[in-house]
Amino acid sequence: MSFDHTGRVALITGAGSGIGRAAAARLASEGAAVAVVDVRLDAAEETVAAIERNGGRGLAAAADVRDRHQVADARDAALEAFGAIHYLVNNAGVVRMSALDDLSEEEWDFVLDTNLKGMYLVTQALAPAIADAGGGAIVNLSTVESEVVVSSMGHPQIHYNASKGGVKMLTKALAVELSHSNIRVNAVAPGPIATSFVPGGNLRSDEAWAFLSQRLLVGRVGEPEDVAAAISFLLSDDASFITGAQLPVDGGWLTR
Amino acid sequence: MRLANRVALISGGGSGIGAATARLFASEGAKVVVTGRRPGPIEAVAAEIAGLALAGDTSDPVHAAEAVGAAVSTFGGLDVVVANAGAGFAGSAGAVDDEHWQRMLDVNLTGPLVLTRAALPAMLERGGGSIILVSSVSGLVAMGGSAAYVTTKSGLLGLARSIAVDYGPRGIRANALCPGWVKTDMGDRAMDKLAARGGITRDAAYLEATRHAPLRRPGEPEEIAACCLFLASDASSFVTGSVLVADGGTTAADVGGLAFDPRR
Repeated sequence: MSFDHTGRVALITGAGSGIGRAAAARLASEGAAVAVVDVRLDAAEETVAAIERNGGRGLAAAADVRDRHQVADARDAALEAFGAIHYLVNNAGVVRMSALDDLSEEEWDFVLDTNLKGMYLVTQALAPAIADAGGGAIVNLSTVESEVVVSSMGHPQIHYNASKGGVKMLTKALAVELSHSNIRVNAVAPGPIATSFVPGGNLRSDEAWAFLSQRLLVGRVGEPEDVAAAISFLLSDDASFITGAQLPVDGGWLTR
Repeated sequence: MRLANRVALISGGGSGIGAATARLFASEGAKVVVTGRRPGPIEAVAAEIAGLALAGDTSDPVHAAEAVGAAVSTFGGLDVVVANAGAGFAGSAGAVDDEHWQRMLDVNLTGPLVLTRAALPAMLERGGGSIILVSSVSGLVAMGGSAAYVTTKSGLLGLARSIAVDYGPRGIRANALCPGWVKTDMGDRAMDKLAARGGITRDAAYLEATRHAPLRRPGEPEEIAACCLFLASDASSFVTGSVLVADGGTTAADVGGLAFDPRR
């Protein structure tokens, strides 16, 4: 079931909860040292505590991905603690819901800056370190909503959709550019995953399942661990010929 | 052991991606049945991994039924199918002859369907499983002068989605895998043509064909086998109806078949 990340160092943004935390736990259990970065230091520390309880190695660092100085500090802390960085998981992201008429410029900027500009800032800060380590891999968190608008839930989110559409193309462009540094770049596109990320939505509720089950081809909602497994695969040497790809981890959401 | 207690059936298992997948699956604990047109190569692979070899025509329903039956009777069931057997013939739409067109449909499209159809009852009996259809980047973009190959490999993406939709609720996942240039017998034959045209070696032809791709090299069969392993294993239990592209970045950079462009 597991991939081998012995001797590797990963930095994961937004790793204080949800998919980021699951990815941190999985990579640590597979041998990687993990720099757990989150805008909330206490959340990052909780993830590290869980990693250490399982005998893994982790480091908590607070950073807002919109702030290049905080990102640089987190990178430097990881380098100082672990000596190198091989993997980056660009997971930090936010979602807000507003109809076009009500959408403020501030909210648009908040979503785009976090989900898209933050990915650029973090990648720009870390790529040289990964190259220095001889190369490595990056996984960006996209979503099925980079491909389709999930309008039937009645939550307009054009800024979220636009940011994640950008992530899909950013992934390809980075794959081309960073191939010269021996860095592979891919994206995972989760479908409905039971985390606290979806506002007002407990995806394990009967109401949610009544909607989700119309679309999903597997008989359950996704778990953060499902996405963590795909992230681990794409980072690993098992995926050594994969770059510039976006892999849906969506229970078949996009299939029909 | 990522495939402990699993039984896998791999078509085109005598060489290239199929053989590498058979070896990797066996090393991860799976019992493996390999099929192929010629008995020699698949028997050699089967002997190496304590598997079972069954020679036959991939588009023949009787052969497919025998292969599934062998998996069930010898190893107790069937969990994973890798429809990997494929063929490539050159020819643009105006030039491809009926015989080659039909042969390509038979091997590349009917073969995977026939194998899937034969395998479904045995897989459902186990409560589900994973079907992997080995397509190609030619299922995503069109390489020049390969109308039948491009058409059949594109069709596999639809077949994977159909299987995912129709059998997902009963526990069967189906995904398509799209490799780019990989160092296989089929790749070698294509490169030899390119090499002859340019007066270069086969290895130089591989590098020429992948010169514009981000990774700037062809894939190894073992790298594609690792993708099959991911799709076969529980690590991908929430992945179905998806297309996994393993092409060294070729299609991300829009350089699909530049080296084969007749204008060059």
